[in-house]
Amino acid sequence: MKLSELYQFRLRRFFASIILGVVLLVIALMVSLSIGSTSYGLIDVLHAFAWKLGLESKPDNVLIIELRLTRSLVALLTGACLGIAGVLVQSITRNPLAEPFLLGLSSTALTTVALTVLLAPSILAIRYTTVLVAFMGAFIGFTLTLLLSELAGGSPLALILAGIAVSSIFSGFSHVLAFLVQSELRMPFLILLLGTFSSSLKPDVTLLSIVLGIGFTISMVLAKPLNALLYGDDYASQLGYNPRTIRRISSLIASFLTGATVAIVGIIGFIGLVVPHLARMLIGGDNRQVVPLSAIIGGSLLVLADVAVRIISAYGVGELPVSAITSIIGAPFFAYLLIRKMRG
Amino acid sequence: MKVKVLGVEFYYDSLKVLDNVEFEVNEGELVSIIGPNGAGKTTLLKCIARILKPRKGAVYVDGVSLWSLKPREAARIVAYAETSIVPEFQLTVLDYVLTARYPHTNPVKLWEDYRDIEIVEQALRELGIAHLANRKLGQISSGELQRVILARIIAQEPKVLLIDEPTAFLDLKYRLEVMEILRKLSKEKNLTIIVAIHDLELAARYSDKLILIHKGKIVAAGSPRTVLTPENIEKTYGVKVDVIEHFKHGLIIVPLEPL
Repeated sequence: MKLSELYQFRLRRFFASIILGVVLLVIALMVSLSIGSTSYGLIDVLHAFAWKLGLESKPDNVLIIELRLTRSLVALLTGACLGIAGVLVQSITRNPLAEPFLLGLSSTALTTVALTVLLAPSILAIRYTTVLVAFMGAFIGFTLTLLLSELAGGSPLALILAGIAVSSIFSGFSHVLAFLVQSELRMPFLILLLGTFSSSLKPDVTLLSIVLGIGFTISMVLAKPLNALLYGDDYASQLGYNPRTIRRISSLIASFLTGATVAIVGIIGFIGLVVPHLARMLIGGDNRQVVPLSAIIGGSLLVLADVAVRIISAYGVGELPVSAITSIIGAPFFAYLLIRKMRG
Repeated sequence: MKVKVLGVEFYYDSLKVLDNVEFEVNEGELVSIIGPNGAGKTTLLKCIARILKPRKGAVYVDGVSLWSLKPREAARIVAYAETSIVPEFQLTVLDYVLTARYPHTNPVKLWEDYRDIEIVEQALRELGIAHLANRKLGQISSGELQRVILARIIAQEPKVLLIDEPTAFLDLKYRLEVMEILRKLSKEKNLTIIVAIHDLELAARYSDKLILIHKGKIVAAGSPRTVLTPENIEKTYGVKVDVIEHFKHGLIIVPLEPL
């Protein structure tokens, strides 16, 4: 095969995967809109869309479907943000086991949010500032993990263990703080820690869209430098990139994406780990392709996880945190990657 | 292009690794940097490659200091090849070699154009590894990987090639092959090639010039015969040797005993 044909094939495979991903995403959304305390058929969902487009008169179930749409969109955007954050974190640490949640970004973000609720609740009246607070928390968490890992010798395993140390300390702090602030936020303690879409509002969709837009754009610009960084710092710098700068910008963006999801939804683990690997299985390791595909796969996965949450919640009291589902799927995957990595 | 290294000094923290290193390499020359472990060979290559910044001194390429250039411009002039790469994330040979075109394409342009692909294909063909393009880096032999690394540095189209241990991990045949390729590149394409290498006989046989360094200082520089004397080797490597001239090819170094 000529090389240009191989290159064309890779591009075609990429666009086909994107189209397939989008189709899956739409199906996941449709399913998600029809499932809940009352189930609607696909027809009802389509009717609601037809009304939105001005084609039909208002159906009576439209309010519920609109509410679900907001919720599903928040799930979609959150999944996309975490998928991209996963790609960034794995690329700059060159570690396939890395992930925002495992490296302590999420629990530190939640800690700073909870701390702000206690100390200066007025700051959190605006959602935008909540996102900023969480962003700073996530960045502090990531920096701490990287420092600790450096002190422990900088091996791939040291990084993961440093992440576990940092996330454990701060999940401890955030547990205490979340327990203290649950009355002020009028949200159950557990839900605050483990993430939920049940309280999603329309402004959340706007806010997450902006966050995703910024994060995605910068990540695409970073895709080539990150590809170079995969072969080592020296390699990147002999190609004319500054490895430190790439790493700094990438960790800022990863923290921004993770922090925003923690501020709006709560902690959701393992999406950032599983999604980039799924994308790479489909289209290989080129970050120019992995970033967009991870956004789509992440979105679909989390919408489906939320569907599972709603189905299970129907059998219990209250709402199941979505992190329960992502951990059940993600942790075995982590174990599999661990075995593969450690056996070489 | 002509490379001029002027009074280069480099420190890791307070440890002096390179001490007033000075030499010149002409266009089309293949020069080997030799010396015992820890002599500073790799550090020297990285200083020339603009990966490490010397505390003192400068590196000029055709009279222009590399540090006065923009990083991307410098990457089109000098390229550095590492001993090996760690394969991770299912990256393929093509993924790796394509990165060589990054300094030549607009940073915001996402995909390579046809010309870039042709250059990469040409480089892979030159090293006889076009059939490996879609293979994962983790699934090829070390001999193949070494050639992949060389293909990448050729695809980067630099004027000066800096290669760390091009023959490490290779068997006899591949060692000769790699050195033949490098000599051909230097002579036919008029490229300036500097390698750091452990194999003294290979270095003697293929290089126009040898530079022997020890503890960060140049001990001897010049033609292989003038550099590889029993006295020089004894002084730097701490090994008593006999140097025998082969009737056709290069020098044979017979280690007698460690001192």
